[in-house]
Amino acid sequence: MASYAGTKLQLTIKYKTKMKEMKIIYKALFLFILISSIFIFSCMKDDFRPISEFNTNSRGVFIVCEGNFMYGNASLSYYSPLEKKIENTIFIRANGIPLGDVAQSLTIHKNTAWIVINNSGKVYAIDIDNFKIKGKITGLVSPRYMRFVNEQKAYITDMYAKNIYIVNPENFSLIKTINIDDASGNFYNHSSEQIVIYEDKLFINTWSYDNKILVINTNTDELIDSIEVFKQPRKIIADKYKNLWVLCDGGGENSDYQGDAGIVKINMQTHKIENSFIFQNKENITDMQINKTGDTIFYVNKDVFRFHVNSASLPEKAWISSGNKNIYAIAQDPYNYDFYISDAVDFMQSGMIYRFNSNLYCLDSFAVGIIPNSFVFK
Amino acid sequence: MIKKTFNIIIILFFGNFVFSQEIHFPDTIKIIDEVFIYAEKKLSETGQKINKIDSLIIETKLLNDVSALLSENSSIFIKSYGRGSMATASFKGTNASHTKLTWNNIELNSPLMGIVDMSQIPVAISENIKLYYGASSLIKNSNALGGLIELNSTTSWSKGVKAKIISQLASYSSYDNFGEIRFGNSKIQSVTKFYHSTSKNNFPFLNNDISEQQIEYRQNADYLKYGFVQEVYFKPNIHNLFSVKFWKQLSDRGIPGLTSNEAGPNNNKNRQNSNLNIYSTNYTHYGKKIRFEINHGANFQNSNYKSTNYINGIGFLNVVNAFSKSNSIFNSISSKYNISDKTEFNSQINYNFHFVNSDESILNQTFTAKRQEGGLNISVYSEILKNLKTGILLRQDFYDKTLSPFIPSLSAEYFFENNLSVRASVSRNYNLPSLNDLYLKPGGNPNLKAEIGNSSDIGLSYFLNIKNFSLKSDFDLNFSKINNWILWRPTAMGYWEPDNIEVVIASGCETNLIFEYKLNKLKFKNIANYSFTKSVRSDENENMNNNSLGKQLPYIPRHSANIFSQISWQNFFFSYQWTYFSTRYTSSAAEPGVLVSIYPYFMNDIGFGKNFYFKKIDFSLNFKIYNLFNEKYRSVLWQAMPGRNYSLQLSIKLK
Repeated sequence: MASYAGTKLQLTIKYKTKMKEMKIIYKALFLFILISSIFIFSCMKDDFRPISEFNTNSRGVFIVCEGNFMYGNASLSYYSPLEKKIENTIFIRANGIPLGDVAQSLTIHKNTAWIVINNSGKVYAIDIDNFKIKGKITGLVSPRYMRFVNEQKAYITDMYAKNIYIVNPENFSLIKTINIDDASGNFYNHSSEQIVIYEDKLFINTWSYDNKILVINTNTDELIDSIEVFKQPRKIIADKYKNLWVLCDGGGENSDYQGDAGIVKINMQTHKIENSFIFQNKENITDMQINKTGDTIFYVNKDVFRFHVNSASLPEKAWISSGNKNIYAIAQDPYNYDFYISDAVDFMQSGMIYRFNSNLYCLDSFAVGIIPNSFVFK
Repeated sequence: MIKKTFNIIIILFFGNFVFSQEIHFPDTIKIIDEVFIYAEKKLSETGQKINKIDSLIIETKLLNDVSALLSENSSIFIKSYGRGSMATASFKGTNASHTKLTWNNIELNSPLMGIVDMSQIPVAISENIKLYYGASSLIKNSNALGGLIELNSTTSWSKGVKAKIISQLASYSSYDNFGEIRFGNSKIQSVTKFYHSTSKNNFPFLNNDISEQQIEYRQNADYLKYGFVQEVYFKPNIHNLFSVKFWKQLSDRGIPGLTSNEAGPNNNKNRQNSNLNIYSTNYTHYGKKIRFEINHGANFQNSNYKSTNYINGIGFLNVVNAFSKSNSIFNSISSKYNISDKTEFNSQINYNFHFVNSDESILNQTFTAKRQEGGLNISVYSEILKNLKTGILLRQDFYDKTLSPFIPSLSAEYFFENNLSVRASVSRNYNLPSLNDLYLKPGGNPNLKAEIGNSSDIGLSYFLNIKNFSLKSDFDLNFSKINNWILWRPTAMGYWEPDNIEVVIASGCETNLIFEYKLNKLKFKNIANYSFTKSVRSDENENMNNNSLGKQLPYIPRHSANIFSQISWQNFFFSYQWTYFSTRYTSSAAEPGVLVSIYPYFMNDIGFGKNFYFKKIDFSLNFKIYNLFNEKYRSVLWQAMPGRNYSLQLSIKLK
């Protein structure tokens, strides 16, 4: 009897223990499923791109923000100086699609802004007031700058195509190409960058691993001359005396293609070099612009310098000191002499724009997209 | 009962999305179906966070690459450029160069780039995958600031011949095959593995990043990867073991452009092919009190990257044609001496040599560099009091003619009676700049300093083992301060350059859980992970426009989690995989916006199948559905990702 009671007690204890264990297990399982189900069935929200309507009939400044290579984060900003108002990422907001990868330049022709997207192989045409897409030219290798001759003819330069494209902007079509290959096999010559038009000639700098200014006849669309300058001619402008000024960055410090950096002055009539200036220091040589009257040049060599086109030498002191900023682009407003400077910061976040009056008093500052590289005034 | 229930609730909530930590099985113990066996943690792993990837996961994902396996089944963050494209790993908010990957003691990180493309590493080449977080990598003589992923091959010493073939057919003309033959006896074993993966990868997607908004087919995203592994093990007696392992792989893949690219099908065609040859030799002596090991091996890698355009009047022309070659030799001698059954002394000496050559033929940019490195480390681990174990490790390395920073590490672990343990560690570690960081033309910075990290960890582990139920849970808090962090940034010259950022602080917590239950013929297994990572720049910048101070570093998510569940009944099985990453920012100031951030990522995959068991042969059929809810998503900016896709896998095992 005692043995039977003892056995029964043992069985009862075992049964209760088993039930306790089962309850623990079921509770744990239930809690796990409950917590997990809250998250498992969550859905992803794909990019939401609401469309904004713009109507900017007054004067303004387009600021081209390159973005980072292969990040696809190029953008366009628009600043209204009268209202002191900045609108960022206007392209995606107006059209619902991203601008692309590395916005290199913007050209305004009549009521259309043409945006060259270097690593997306295309040029977008947008309305300069409402920023809506009017059309595009695609199938380009690595386009850089665009320059108009007339309504039916424009040139587009390219870094890797070894050709310059001739396009019809009216119907967004490619007409033909101009071969600029130097056939030397060295590096990837020639690349083509900016265009300055003088009479019936194009002057084009070859920035990437090159040191030439190419001259093309716009009637025959043939290469007629090339002028050797310092290594890596980065920017070109023309002054009121019909001279071409070339800013050369001399190649990077850790590059095998290095040399003097400086500025070269070329007579666009004779194609002769009239003067050349070598920089004592080369550090962040990124931009060169000319004022409205065509007689004062501004350039960036870490700081901002300015000099008159008839100067015998380069300025020793900076006109605007960069301090701790990374000055990347400069421009003077053709309407009121205000001066704009972009700070690219660390090249991986929003850039900053400063607007000064002619007395270098800061009128405004605002953030824009990544690596603001140029200002185009409407 | 209340106390036990409370414990479980605490673990589940505390562990939240839990984490995975495999139970350690010593090699000599066989797993019996109904019994869960737990091995005591090795003394040299005192205070360390070390996870072993569950063998079920490895078996399920044998045809995958390591990046997919880690992304779905660990707390490591994988930055992937898409199916078949580059993928890198980072532990606890560090970057890809802080993650080391070894295969049978041979480091796979390229001395040129400093990183490993995890998408090129098949799961099938190893049986054993272990993750060493942070300072725990020091016991493997690795200077991995983030952590170490160890891939190891093993053999079972069974007699006769065993073979396995797995073949998979999947969407987008994807074909994967794997074969393995093992034969030998109790003294000598040969293992041969071969694999072949190819895919056109031309998945359809809606491209709403261009003005036409049309369905397109992914171009230039095809891949091919094939190789073989040969292993020979020789065990003349129980005290000595020799092994030789060789791995060869060839791969070729297209690198697709961004969805916004409209250069045309003949332009911006980027391709990469690689050739990998690795061998590893090992001799281990097991004495009564001493274990002695000699390792030697080499890693020979070369690759070619091309970017091609169609040039009017010329034809197809390369704009980039970059060749890179790296040769590395690894040597180490290590010993473990059991001073007593509660104290062990370890030492290791190593010497490695690296040679690299990088040549870009279009721009004529070339460099050659060498580096030799080596060092000595000694450590003592001891159970100084009942249930309290401590460890101290000291290491001194050199590279070329320079002494590296001195590395100390302290760790401790206390084991409570109720299967709960608490651990802690503090350590210092360093990471040398890669040879590319120093010498690449253009952009390399020869003045770069080594990154130095000081880190600390505190963790809790708990396991519960009832007859048909087991639960193991880990929780870990970590903090690292890394000085001279190397960051590549664009410059005004148009190319990128590396620089030392003064300080990055990476901190956070991780939890993981393994949960197994058996009810009659129903088996249920869950493995889950969650991590919170805050990885921010903490040095003041003189430019007041720089807003990167205190902001999350690019591409590192604050939250990540994954769950793998499998239910099996008789010979049927059903599995579910869920993966989550929170928002990732791509600018240095962690700015929101569709151009500079990627929205949170949730992914659901399922699989189901059946096993067939016969006397001499087993079959298994497994059907999987990836991206179950056919979601449009992004892993990196402006790269298309596939919608719902499928695979059918057949496995055959000869017994």
